[in-house]
Amino acid sequence: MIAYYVLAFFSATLAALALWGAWLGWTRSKSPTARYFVAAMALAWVVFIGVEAWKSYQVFETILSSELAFTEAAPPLYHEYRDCRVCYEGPAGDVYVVAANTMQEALYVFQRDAPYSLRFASGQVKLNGRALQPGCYTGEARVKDTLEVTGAMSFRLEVGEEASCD
Amino acid sequence: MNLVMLELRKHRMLIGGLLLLALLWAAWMVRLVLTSGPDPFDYLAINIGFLFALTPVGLLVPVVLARALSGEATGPLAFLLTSPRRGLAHVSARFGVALATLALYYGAIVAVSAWVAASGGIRYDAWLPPAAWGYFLVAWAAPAVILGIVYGLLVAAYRPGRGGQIVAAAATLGVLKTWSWLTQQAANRLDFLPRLPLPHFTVPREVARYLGLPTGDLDLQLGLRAVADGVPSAPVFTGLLLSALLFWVALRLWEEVEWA
Repeated sequence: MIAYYVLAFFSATLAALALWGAWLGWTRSKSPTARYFVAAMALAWVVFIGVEAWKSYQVFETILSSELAFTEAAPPLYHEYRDCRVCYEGPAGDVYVVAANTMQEALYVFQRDAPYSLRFASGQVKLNGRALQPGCYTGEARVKDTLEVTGAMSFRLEVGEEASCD
Repeated sequence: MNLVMLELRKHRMLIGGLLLLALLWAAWMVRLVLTSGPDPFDYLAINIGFLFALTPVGLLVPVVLARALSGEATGPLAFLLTSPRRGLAHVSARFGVALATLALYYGAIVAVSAWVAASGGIRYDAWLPPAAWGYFLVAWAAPAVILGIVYGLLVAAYRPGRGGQIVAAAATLGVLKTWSWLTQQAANRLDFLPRLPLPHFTVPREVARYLGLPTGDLDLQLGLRAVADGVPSAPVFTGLLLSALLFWVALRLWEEVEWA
């Protein structure tokens, strides 16, 4: 609760400062460029203050309400074990990505239904026990689907609405 | 040009100090590399540490530029603001001298770091150091310098005691927010912007073992290829656009400062 008040107070103070700057800039100079530039930039700042305050508010809502924390914000899959070289696992743009130069050993389990795309250059990948050939695949994963990886190279798994093979 | 010499003389301590700092650091790194044993990890780590420490020092240049300009209207050089020479000459001189200083400073840092990395066994494409230097200058250094000039001119455009600093600070923050928003929008929406190639960057075995990789050399390009398909060039174009726009604003402000 306090967090909301702090956010509101902070945003309001910054916005007041920006508006004061805009007003001073507009009224205290005869130089047209200075007046317009300062007014435009200060008002742009006010807009961004508002946008950032709104985004922070949404983040607070997500964190502070436990229901959403278990559905929207949590990652769509987790790994039981993972041994990889030069890898990244996390959000990337509109999708959740697991990418690795070399995925030595890994077992991934999906936490919710989601479309996915999977590509790898070599090695062994089993989706629900069914072995796949190197290449690119897209599909719909269900909860508790497992992905078992052994010695895969150039591995990239995307999960999300925007997951694709191009 | 007299204006360029004036800028050099006005800021001789800052310019001399920055270049001296770069030179001393370069000399120390060269000595470190030449007198160290076969293990390159120490001086590679020291080099990276210094990169983080030396890079922010360049921020002094736009800050000093802004302070000098904001005091100009009430200082001994106030006649410059009402001189009949076009604003283009004045702003170009200040921008040019400041950008040249930053170019030399960061150029020295990049060159020494590239040599240290090569001595440590790291192999990279030959175009990587100049490309990184150019990217940094266009995407960050040039807009920062011109923003410092605009800040100082805004303060000078308002008579003392009539809110100059608040006005300039509000406008500057607006510019910074708009700049980052523009870069983000350009990176996300403008697909036609070229993506720069990922450079080869091979870390030798002795260093790679510290990262827990027992199997030979590690080429980061192969690894990064799975994660990203190139280096975005949106910051470069946004930096160019912003520098051009702010340069124009600075020109107009210079011409109009005497109206304040």
